[in-house]
Amino acid sequence: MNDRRQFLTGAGVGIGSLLLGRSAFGMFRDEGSAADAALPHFAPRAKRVIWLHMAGSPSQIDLWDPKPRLRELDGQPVPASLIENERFAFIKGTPKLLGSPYEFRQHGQSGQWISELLPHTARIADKLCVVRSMHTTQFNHAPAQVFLTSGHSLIGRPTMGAWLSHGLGPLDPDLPAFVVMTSGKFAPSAGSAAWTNGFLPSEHQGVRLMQAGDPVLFLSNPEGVDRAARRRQLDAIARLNRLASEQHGDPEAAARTAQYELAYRMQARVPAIADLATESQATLDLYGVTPGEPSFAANCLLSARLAEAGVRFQQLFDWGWDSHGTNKGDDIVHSLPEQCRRTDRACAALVTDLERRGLLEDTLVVWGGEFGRTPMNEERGGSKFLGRDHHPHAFTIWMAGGGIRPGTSFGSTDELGYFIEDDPMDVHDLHATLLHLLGIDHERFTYRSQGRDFRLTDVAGRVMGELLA
Amino acid sequence: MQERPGEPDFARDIAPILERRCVECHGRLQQKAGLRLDQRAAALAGSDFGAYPVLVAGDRGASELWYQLENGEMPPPEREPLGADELDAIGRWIDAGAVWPDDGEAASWPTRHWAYSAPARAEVPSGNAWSQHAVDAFLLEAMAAQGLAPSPEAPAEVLLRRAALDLTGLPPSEADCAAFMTDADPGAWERAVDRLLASPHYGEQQARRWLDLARYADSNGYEKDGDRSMWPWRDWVVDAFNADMPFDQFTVWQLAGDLLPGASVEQRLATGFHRNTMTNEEGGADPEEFRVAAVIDRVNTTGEVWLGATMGCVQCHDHKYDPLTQRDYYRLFAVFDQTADVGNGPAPVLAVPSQEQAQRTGAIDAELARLREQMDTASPEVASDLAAWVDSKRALLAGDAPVERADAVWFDGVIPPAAVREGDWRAWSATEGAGPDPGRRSRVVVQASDAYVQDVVRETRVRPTIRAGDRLFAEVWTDPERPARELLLQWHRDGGDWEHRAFLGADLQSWGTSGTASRLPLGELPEVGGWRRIEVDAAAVGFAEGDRLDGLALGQFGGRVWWGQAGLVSADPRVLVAVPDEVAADLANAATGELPTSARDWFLATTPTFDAQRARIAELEATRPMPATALVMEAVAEPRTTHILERGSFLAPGEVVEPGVPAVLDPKRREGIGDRLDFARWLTSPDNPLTARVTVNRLWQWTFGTGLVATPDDFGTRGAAPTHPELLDWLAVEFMEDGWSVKRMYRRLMTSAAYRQSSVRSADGAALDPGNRFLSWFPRRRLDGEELRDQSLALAGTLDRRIGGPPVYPPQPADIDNATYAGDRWRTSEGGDARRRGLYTFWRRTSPYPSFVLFDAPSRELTCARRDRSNTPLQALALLNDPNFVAAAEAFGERLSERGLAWGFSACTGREAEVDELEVLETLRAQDGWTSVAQVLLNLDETVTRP
Repeated sequence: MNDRRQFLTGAGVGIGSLLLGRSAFGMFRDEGSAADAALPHFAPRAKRVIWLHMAGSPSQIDLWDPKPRLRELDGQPVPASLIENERFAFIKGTPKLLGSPYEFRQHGQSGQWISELLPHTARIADKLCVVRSMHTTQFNHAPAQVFLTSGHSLIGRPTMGAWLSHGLGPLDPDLPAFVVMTSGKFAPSAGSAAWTNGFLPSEHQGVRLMQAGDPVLFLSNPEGVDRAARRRQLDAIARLNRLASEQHGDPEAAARTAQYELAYRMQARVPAIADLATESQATLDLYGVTPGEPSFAANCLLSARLAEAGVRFQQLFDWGWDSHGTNKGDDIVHSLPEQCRRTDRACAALVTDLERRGLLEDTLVVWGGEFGRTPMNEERGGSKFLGRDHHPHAFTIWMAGGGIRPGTSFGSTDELGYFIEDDPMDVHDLHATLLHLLGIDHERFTYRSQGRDFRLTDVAGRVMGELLA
Repeated sequence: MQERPGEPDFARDIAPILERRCVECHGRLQQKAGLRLDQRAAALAGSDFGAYPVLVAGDRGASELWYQLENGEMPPPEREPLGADELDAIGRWIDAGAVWPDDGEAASWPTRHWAYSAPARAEVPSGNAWSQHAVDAFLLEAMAAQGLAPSPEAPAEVLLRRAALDLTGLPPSEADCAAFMTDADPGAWERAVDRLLASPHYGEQQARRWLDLARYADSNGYEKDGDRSMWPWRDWVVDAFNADMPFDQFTVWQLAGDLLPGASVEQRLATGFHRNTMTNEEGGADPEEFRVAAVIDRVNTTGEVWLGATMGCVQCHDHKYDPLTQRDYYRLFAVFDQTADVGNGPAPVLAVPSQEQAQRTGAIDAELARLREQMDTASPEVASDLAAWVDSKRALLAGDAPVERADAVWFDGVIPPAAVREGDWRAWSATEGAGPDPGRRSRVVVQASDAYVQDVVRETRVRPTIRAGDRLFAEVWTDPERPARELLLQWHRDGGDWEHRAFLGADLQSWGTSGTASRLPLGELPEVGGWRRIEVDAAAVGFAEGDRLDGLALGQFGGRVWWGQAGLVSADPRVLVAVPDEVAADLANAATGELPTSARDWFLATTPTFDAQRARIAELEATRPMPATALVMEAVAEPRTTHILERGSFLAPGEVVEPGVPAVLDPKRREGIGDRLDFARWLTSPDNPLTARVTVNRLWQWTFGTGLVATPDDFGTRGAAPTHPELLDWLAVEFMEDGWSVKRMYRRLMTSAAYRQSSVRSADGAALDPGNRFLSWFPRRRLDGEELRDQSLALAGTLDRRIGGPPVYPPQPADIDNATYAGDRWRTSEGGDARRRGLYTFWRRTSPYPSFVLFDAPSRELTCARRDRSNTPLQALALLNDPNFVAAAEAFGERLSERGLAWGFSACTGREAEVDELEVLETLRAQDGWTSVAQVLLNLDETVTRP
């Protein structure tokens, strides 16, 4: 009798997360608070995440996944069996294989294979878990970025950072939980859909930090209003709001006053964090940062400072990795090395710096694009420049810190780097693993919208135990 | 009517309980614990617990169904428990033998959902002491049932501000205030509402809301997110609301206006609604994939906007909770699958001339018709010219022998008829003053430029054939005041290319290879100030015997140049005749005395007699207005076959489906749906139970803040239940019977006592109904981003109130736009355009205007029926520091200094300030000045809230 009762109860619907406390940026729970809540579901290994998104998608063939056989077959037509029924973004006809012009060597005690284009990252090889068996379903930038950030290729679902802002909130109530930064000539293809709150309340959308002007939109007082004058304004607003709410009784007025106070505190707090000039010259050199000059490196250093201050989830989009080879500006001979030079030092510095600040053990760093690139030369319109088309079947990401097993190589592709051979890992698996590290069971982390319980991992996802420390 | 106890009837009493409570988990879609309760056989077959029979006739104690229900094991804890009467009915039914007729099926889904049967006019509750208004009667009855009482009426100024913001999105004008405050007669409020409904700003406010539903934007979306021209459709929406177009007509025009018989420009323009879908111009994107994505979006948007149905799930599988199948979905998909648009471009596009443009176009067309009439052979002079012309041509064509080498004039200073041209082709006219004496050359072309310019003519109808020894020639006159640096002649070979060039002067243009036939040097520039002839052997610029010319480009670097005749020096009579092949053939074949039409037309098109007319025609064509355009729907030429797409993927087409509507919404319907027009008409027909309900619910939401159904886009079983179902149905029926008038529905809602209640919350009300679902006080709402912008500009007196036109670009932080992939930039507007209403701010989907986004504006990638109303510090920063708001505060501060603090306070909040409130403001003013006080006033909770 007992058994069957349990069975029946167990067959019921999972109960959505219970969340307590509310801060400016949505739900907030003090780390030390004894407040009972459904989240985290279990002890987290990571408290925060910094995601370095190389928008456009870097070539795994030239950076992470050495393929000697591909080099031998360089210039040969790709075997027909591989491209049967394939759809490409740009390739027409039967493309030719393109071996990497770059040398790979093993690095560190772990002996991870890394290309000569990433000498700085190579030095932190033993901290990295390199996954060479990522795959996705999307092969156009915007849908692939939306899929990677939200777990669904159509716009409308909340992105990872929004889920975490909603579920975990910031570590410091005066700061947003979810911050987005961009570098390079353009914002990512998906635009603000890459940091949308989807159907979650809108306070969970990513707060975009700007590279020019105020780091947070409208942070600076207008000319002629100093901090003391602003204080007098806020005192007047608070007093008038209170007088009015004594009449109408709407608690929203008091909440608004509190938000004005918080804005005032942010005005003091955020510029101090964003002022990279306060860092030592040694740290600036480590990243390659010149204070005042927008760059990917400056975003990396700022992300370390924001992580330290208590931002939960940061996504840094860097533009310029779409190496089609249509011209010198997007090929793998001129452009790709330049992209690496621009970012390699800062990526390594971020991991090193987080460790130095004592944050790496509970900060997860993820590096990667939204898909991979073909082992074939694209040759769009007969272009003489070497380049690779979009490739959803295999790409490489790396992770470090926050409960990830360091010095690990995971997964493999076939001898041409076309399909995955061992241990495939898809976007949902990556999300499930990320949530797991944050102490969240991805199957129980749901939000009801339009009558249905939604998950970041949709109806899929496996926690990749092999990657956990 | 008293039912006979003890004998429940399955169909009447039991099936509805099973449908409502059980079949969702124990039905067609899910059989939790192995149990189905929608069919007799399946129910009797038992469950996973084989030892426990589900039903034992006559013995409730032995029936597992009874055990589960009685012990509260089922329904599970998160579901509403069974009512005592329901439990009782089931018990008695089992005891009476659990009679379940063989054909007695419970529906496999909960089909008897309230929203799927047609709304019926409920009886208005009577005996209402509060108000005579039907809306109030329903509300009061519900309040009373909760132990609640309505609030007293709000002060007049507050009421007017409330209604003005709701209806026009702006604070009341001073004229409206004066009119209302001085109107002491009965019906003053009704008249105030009527004045607001008549305001042209009413249409703007309603359009703004409709644009969220329509996912309107000024950009295409996805990666490139380039600009698109859609604003004429937006203006159409404004006009439609202002004209109070009946909502059924509004629906049909937008979904299928192009299919109406003899569709007008307006009706076709209205179909822009569903062209607001995104298009993906990302290189490498499959257009079909994104066409399908757009059709999916049309189905989903139509579902949410008209049917209150969330369709997203059904794209891939049957709906888990609502009685919608994947087949239903693709039958709707089939309705929208028959349009001509593609996934990566704007076509079809409709030109939408303004009234002025339409008049101008009419005038031009009329003059063109007159001119063309003049160009006839009616006059004796022209007739004799024509005869002479024909004789000369015939003479040339008659002889086969080579004749004397002569100029075959191919190009005579004007564009040959029916050729393609590029460049300005400015004709010289005597009125221009200084210029060459045209002499025998009646027509010349003028160029003048500091850089390289060229006039090009291609695909000429006359195509001279080159023979051995032929030379190419052109005549030129260079202005002595402005000599050119280089003259470049280019010829195009029929079926070949432009690699036949010759130049004089400096070798500046880089096309071809210098010193070869593709760029042949001809020496020094010709002498200025007179007609000079340039000649070159055709062979020297790469022509062979038999090649034909079909294009000429006259180019120059700098200076001012007149070109005269150009052509071929030839001895071939068929070249010297210089008419198109078909004209030559017609002339040769025609009997003597007979004039072929082609020859007559060619003569009329080339004779110098009509130069003036032709010049005027060119001028008129050049000044033809360029109307704005909008993306519209058109039926596809070749009808498509629609398939169910497995897992929603366009690469996995399954079974073929015909257009149709979901069976659950219209069970009587036996036939499918013909086309979009048929479907649009069905949407607003009495056969569809939802459109009127969903629409009045939205109007309720836009009036009272929250819909009677709190989920305006989901009237399904998982959506919110209506708080006042009878009121909702009463309103829906009223709406339909009153000709679907939106203005009159607003008037009906706003003249209720409920709308006129005070927003001061009573202690009792707040305790009993903290969410105010029963409206025992009037709910305040924070204004939308656009409303905040508009209000601040209106208070500042700087709002540019022009209605309609292309989108504008008010200032935004520099780094926001950081260039879209299409390369379209934020071209910050100046003057009045920087102070237009938020409705007109350019909407870029990948980067919407920040001060709107911060206040919960959607990105407009998908339809949005309800904005959040968050309250964040980023909003405080925007209202205090966004330069748009700061500028408004400065202007408002100036008005304060003239009119005083009391005026400013009441302009912002709609009520008079108390003494202590004025003291706070005065203290601040004394210390920090008017602008500081203005900022404080614009940031008050009361100011940013609709009271």
